[in-house]
Amino acid sequence: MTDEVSEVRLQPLDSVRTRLSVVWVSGAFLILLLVAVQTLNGRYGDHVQEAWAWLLPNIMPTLGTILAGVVSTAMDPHRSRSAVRSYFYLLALGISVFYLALVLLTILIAPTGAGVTAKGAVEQMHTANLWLGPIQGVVATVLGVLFASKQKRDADKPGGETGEPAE
Amino acid sequence: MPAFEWPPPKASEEYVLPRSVFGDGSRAQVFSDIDQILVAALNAGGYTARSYYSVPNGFALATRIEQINEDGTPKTPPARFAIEPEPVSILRPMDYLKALLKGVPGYYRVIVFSVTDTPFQASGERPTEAQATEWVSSGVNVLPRAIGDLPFTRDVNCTALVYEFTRKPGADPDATQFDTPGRLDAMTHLVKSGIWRGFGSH
Repeated sequence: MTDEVSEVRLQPLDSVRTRLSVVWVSGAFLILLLVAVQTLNGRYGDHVQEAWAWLLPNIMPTLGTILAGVVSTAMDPHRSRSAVRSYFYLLALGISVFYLALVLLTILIAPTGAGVTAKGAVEQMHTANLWLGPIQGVVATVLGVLFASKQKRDADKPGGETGEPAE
Repeated sequence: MPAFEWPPPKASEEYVLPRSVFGDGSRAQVFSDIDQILVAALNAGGYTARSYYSVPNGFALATRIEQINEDGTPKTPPARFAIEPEPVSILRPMDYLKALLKGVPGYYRVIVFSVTDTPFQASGERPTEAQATEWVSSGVNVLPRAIGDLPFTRDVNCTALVYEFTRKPGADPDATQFDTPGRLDAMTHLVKSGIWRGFGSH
């Protein structure tokens, strides 16, 4: 029994949160910067509002959840002793990268097809919502578990990480 | 035969073709001879769709609206005669980046040849792209004999009226603006379109 438990590979929750935050903040920053540059260059013509109305709901809710989790622990002087199973961390990381790549790809692929016009690009964005919506639901669920879960504190043992799974 | 708006709408650029284009004047010519030379030149440029209209003492020959490159050369089909802008290949990195960040501008052109002995000054009316698009389908397909038999006297001139439209990057396909003056001069349009080369081959 003891051997089976010890074989479960764990990652410190704080470390997992940090790595996922980096992925999301850098990914979101890249996408927002790209669309901002496009907007300033007139890429979306008269469809600027529609483009941003597509982008923000696809990025901000999850980013908000992540930042809220980061902020709530930023002023916590105690290190968490909670841990996350590695496969769950990899699942969260993989699905986050996949989702952000899909959002980015929707923008990058536009000039190569009907999205070469502003109107066509916005229509493609709306079409992409067919798969982005459900995937975003999965992403929100997975990241919600990691960023909104309670942490076990180890006030008496600074630096202690006992490997207990997050609640 | 339907009448072309007269005087014709303001053109982006216009050019009166030299008479030498239609022969050395050694034999008497009629309008159908001029038509044949124009048609041969248009065929050489790939303009297979065209439409005839009557104008005072003559006729007008309008080409189909086409999408052109910035330098006046026609886009390769099927983009040439499509109103929608051409998608950009990712294999052309600079074009792709421009299209991604800024969008793709659209340049459109219609050429109308007016053959008449009546001097004219274009009206102040600025044609819309929708109007110009209709020109190729609102006239008749061949020059009626009644007009074709008219003599090509020294008073008759053939004027190329070039109507150019631009769609700004990011604008909708139907949001084009009439260019006046044109981005390119009329002769450049005739050369780049392949029509001028066609005049030399008759």
